[in-house]
Amino acid sequence: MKGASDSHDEPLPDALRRDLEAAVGVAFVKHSALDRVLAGRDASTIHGQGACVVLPKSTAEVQAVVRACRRHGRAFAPRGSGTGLSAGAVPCGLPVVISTTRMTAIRLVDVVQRTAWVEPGVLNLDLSNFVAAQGFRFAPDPSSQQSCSIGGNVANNSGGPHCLSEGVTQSHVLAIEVVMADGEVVMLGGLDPEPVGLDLRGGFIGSEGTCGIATAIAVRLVPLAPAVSTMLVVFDALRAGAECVSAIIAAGLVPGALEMMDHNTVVAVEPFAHAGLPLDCAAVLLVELEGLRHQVAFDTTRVSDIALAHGAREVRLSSSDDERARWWKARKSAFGAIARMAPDYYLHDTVVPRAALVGVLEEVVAIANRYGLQVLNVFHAGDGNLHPLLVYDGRVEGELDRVHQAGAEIVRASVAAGGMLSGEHGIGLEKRDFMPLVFSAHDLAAQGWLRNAFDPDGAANPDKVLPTPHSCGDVVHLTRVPDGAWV
Amino acid sequence: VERTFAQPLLDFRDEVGATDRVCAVGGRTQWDIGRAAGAAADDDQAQDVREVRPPVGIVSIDPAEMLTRVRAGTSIVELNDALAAVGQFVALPLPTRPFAEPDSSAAATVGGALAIGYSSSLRLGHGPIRDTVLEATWVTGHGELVVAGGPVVKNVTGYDLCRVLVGSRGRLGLMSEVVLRTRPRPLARQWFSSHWTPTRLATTLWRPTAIWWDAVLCWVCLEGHHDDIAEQAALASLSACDEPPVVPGAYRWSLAAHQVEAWCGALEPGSFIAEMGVGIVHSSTNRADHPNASMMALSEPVRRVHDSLLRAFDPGGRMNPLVGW
Repeated sequence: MKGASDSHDEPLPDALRRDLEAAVGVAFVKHSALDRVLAGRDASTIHGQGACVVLPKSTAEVQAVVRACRRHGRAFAPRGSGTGLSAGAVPCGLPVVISTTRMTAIRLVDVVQRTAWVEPGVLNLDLSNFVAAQGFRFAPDPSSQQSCSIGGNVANNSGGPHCLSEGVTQSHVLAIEVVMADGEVVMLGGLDPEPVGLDLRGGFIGSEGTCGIATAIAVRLVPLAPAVSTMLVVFDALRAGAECVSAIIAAGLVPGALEMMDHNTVVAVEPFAHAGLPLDCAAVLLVELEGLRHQVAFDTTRVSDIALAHGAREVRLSSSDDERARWWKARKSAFGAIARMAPDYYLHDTVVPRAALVGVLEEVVAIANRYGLQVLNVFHAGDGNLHPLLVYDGRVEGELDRVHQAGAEIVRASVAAGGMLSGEHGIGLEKRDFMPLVFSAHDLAAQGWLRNAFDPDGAANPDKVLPTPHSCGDVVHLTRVPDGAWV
Repeated sequence: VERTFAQPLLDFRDEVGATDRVCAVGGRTQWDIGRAAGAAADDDQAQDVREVRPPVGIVSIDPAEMLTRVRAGTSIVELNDALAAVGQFVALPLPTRPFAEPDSSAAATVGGALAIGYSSSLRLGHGPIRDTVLEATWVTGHGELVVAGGPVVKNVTGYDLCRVLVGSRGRLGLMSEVVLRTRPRPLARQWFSSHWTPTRLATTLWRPTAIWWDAVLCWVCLEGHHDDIAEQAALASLSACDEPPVVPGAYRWSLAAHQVEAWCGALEPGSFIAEMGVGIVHSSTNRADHPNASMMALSEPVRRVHDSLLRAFDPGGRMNPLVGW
């Protein structure tokens, strides 16, 4: 099997094309220059090249495509909606890109046992909307949930604002049907709670397409809460806001969501969202409590007391569904609004102990200042999951280089504070070479054993996650984020 | 990164070594699970397996991070007692099996529970045991200390080996230290009994912590604010009871939750407890026509992945060699 840095004489030899067309039909093997460029991107600034993009409709078609790739010595790269931010779906080494966008069936919903079987191309929000009338939702809710796929969520072990109390994708997937790199179809995990043997389901989730392609996924459904209380807490000092986050958790409260937006973010989003955010604040916390009504009321009072004791200037309780929706629109649309400030942004994703939030946030600002960049912080504070967002103009010579340098310092500062490289975006290509910052050679070897057990030839999404001795020569950094990137 | 390990972990690594066959000993409360029939201590096969004891002790408890760092040999009871002092707990189970001594559940260790991988009988509300591990340090068959995950509550940095380790029965190596996710203790907890069907209870109550069923009665555990518990209890006409029934420990099956009621039809009513909505059945009698799944139930490609992992982490097959699935 050719690896990512190996060269192929031509992107798509006729014999490979014919086999792929036999697998999925001529109409679903896309190999024009435009198709290849589009499939070479995700929402990061990194761009690669695929041989072509194929769009299977079924597990059998995915299997036929993978087998064709193997016969022709070609790697393959799974692709969901392309909303990833770490270049996990960016093809390395001219692989066949296998897009799951036609696999969109919700096969089964069992509201009594609170499970659903879905195909990987089902969009995250579509599933939640589908089961909402029956009083359920799919808990992971990335900000890209309107467009990201559940297969992509599995690949990245995705999170979202409401994963603070519910956990990320790993906690919501029971079983996965997978086409492995050798073309075998297997079931990992199961609807029974303690399947025999090692938890290969758990190993597959978050493997970023390097262990095969999920073709059907059994997910847990979470009942909608009877009572919801949403609070906007306003601070005159960023430090006070961050300390309040730790105090809320230390008090034994686990809100459904606990999000922070700093001053720069509030100023950027308020003219866009009209959410009534105070433009003169240093930071706001968006706190959402969910559950039964007495617990929610009790916890609302406790959060309010803790916030005021930690210097909150104001604690607003949402008075209507409309107001709550506008606050959430401000949070989830922050990245669209930032286009008003500069043409481009680069979003980082690190996670630190909550107690380190204050120090790391201050360091992030200092780093940005040192590089002459403006930084915005809008993030999952309750999890310690930082999203420093560096805004820039990619047309200015050298500006993206400074963004990358500042970003590397932010990553190092997070790690120095006891944090990890990624809370929810994954490693992909973007952070692959930072992995030795947090793992020893022994640790990385152990991770490699897991990957090799699934795919000893490195045929599935090569060169991702783990550092390799060679570089992926056909990957380039764009000067700007593709339009429509989400966080 | 060059890791530095605390001395007890280095000592454990050295004790495990890199050559001979070893098994980890915790509280021996689940000693026979996965152990091949006849592999008793006096068997020839078992005689050259050296017993080692993982390090013991709570390294830190950090309520504001909702996590604790603990050595694998630590008693679960001791850990939860310490966590109770800060209003938290870990969702690790005490063994439901019959104990040699009435109070031997106190001997159950963190590492033992994680190696076996059985979740608590309150899994419906507290989640599976595999979701508790944030970071794991263990000694592989190569005799090296390896770390997976990280000491933060949300983390997708690299492959999720922590999930694979939980329930691996020591076959990928011997657990030394873990960072566990803690949870706040609820304001109140109350057990109830009910003559309603499990399905009616499941569709009436909002996120109960447990629904147990024995084909005669249901028992329901509710946690949270006492006024919510009272309202939920009234909604489902629940009758408060002091204690739930003792879970039979002799046999344990894992079934898809929707199959449980029909499957339990072959068991004597009252002789079992089924965790409804989860799919675990505990029984005092065997159902001989339905043996627990073995490795043979796995497809050949899955077994290949399995075997490859075991070979990579433990090429000599020397870690807990008498234990399997």
